[in-house]
Amino acid sequence: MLCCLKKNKWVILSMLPWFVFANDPKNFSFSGFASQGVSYTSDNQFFDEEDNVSLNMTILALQANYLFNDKIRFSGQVMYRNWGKIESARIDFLMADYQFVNQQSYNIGFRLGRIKSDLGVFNSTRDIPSARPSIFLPQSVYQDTLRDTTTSYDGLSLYGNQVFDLGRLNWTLAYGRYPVSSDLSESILGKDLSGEISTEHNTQINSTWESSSGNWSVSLGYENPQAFAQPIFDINDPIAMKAGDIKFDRYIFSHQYFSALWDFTFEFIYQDTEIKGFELFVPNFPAFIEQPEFPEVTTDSLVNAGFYGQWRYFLKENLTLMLRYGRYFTDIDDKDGSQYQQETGMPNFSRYSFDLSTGVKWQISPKWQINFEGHFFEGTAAISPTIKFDHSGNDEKYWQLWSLQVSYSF
Amino acid sequence: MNLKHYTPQLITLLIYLFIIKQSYAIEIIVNESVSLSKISYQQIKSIYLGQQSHWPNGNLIKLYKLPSDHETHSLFVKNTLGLYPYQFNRRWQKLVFSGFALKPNEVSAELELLNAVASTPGAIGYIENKIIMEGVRYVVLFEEK
Repeated sequence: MLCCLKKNKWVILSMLPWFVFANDPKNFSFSGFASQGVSYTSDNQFFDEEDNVSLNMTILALQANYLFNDKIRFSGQVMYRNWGKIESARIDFLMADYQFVNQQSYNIGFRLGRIKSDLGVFNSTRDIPSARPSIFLPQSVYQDTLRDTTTSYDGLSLYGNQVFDLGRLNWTLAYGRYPVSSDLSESILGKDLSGEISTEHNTQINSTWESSSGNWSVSLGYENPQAFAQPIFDINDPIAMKAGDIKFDRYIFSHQYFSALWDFTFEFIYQDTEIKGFELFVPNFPAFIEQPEFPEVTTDSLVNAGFYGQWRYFLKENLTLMLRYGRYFTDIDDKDGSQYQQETGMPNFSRYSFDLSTGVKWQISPKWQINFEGHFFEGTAAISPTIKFDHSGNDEKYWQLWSLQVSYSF
Repeated sequence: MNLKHYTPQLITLLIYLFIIKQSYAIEIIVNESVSLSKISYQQIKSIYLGQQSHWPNGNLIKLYKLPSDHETHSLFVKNTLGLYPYQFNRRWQKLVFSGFALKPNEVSAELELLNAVASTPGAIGYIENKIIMEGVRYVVLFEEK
């Protein structure tokens, strides 16, 4: 309990005034949404372990804003998410916002608490049906296996914007720690090697430039999340893994172009990963005999890279078609995974994934929305845990994912 | 020169000018508590894109808007903000659900918006036709050079 309080100190700090002074109902406002979907996965274990068809696609979110006074606003959102094999209820964000410089051409403010990460175009709204392009975000840049290290952080951020003759600049400087759940340990270590996982503080820098006409924008973001994992094993397990450390240097470049009938988004991720530890060993092995040799995961620099291009066409004001193609490589120096296959005997297609997606979004009314989409994949890199060697659940090179979702927001 | 020969052209020109004038006939209104007589296009954009939450004197900006399918709203987004309506909607979905800005207050008709701005200190809104009302100040839009 104490540990939990300590871990969430930023969040709790920002909540205190809310509870003490929240007495004026007219300063409160609420929003939220509910969504339910169904998906079909032809092969592999991207979504639901047991079945090809899954109804484990429920998200509920409730959001509140409270104006503490003319200067300070509190904003929070709780989210229940039953998504494939992961079910969780969490505080999505909960923060105080104070914009203390307000000039004709620039503004500066800061936020304190649990804050949504704004790296890339879709990170801050990856769970919000009305604000994302598809039910499943492009896995080449927004990998669901790493979502805990990209969703929201406990800390503080300084943000601002400045208007120039040629456009406007939005920027954010942030410092915080991503709270992690067991989802991350499962996706990093694999299902069989669960354990304790913790994160270190992270620095984030993000800037977006928008043209003065507003029809295009470019942005560049950087962050360096770090996680420490201590796998749990039993002495009788045939094989076990030692503790380890993963560090990411993550850069995301984004470009968007907007026109009357269509828009285009291109994003590129460059992620330099440092992995220490995680040596495999046999727990119940006599000390006088040398341990058998296992493939190593330790690396000073494993560069993951991915990109996608996405084109959306507005057939009607409330009907949007989407076409997207993306590629992801676990190791940019071994794009086809052949070297990996040679060294480990694991499938080479577990080191890359190509994804062709198409979908339709129908805004039935301002509150109701239906999404339908299909994804055609080659390779399993985007769904394979970073350091896991067991690919038995993801053994199909070519696979598909189809999904339908209905959402209501208010 | 006999103007008669150019009648069709002149009529077309007049209609064209009329349409232009019509499409730009958006008035920015603020509550009289806001000490502002003119505002740049860039600043109105900062305000309506949720990037500026307070007036230069530090008071909270209370944002008012008409429904997304309202004609005046579309004109305001296209001509005053210079954005496509889908860009405006998408940005607000993102701002609201990431907690980065407070959702604008939506009222269903222009007269209602006028009344709301008149009675809410710090409020800003937009209407198509100028109606003089106590408590409301009309703000001149200008292009920053």
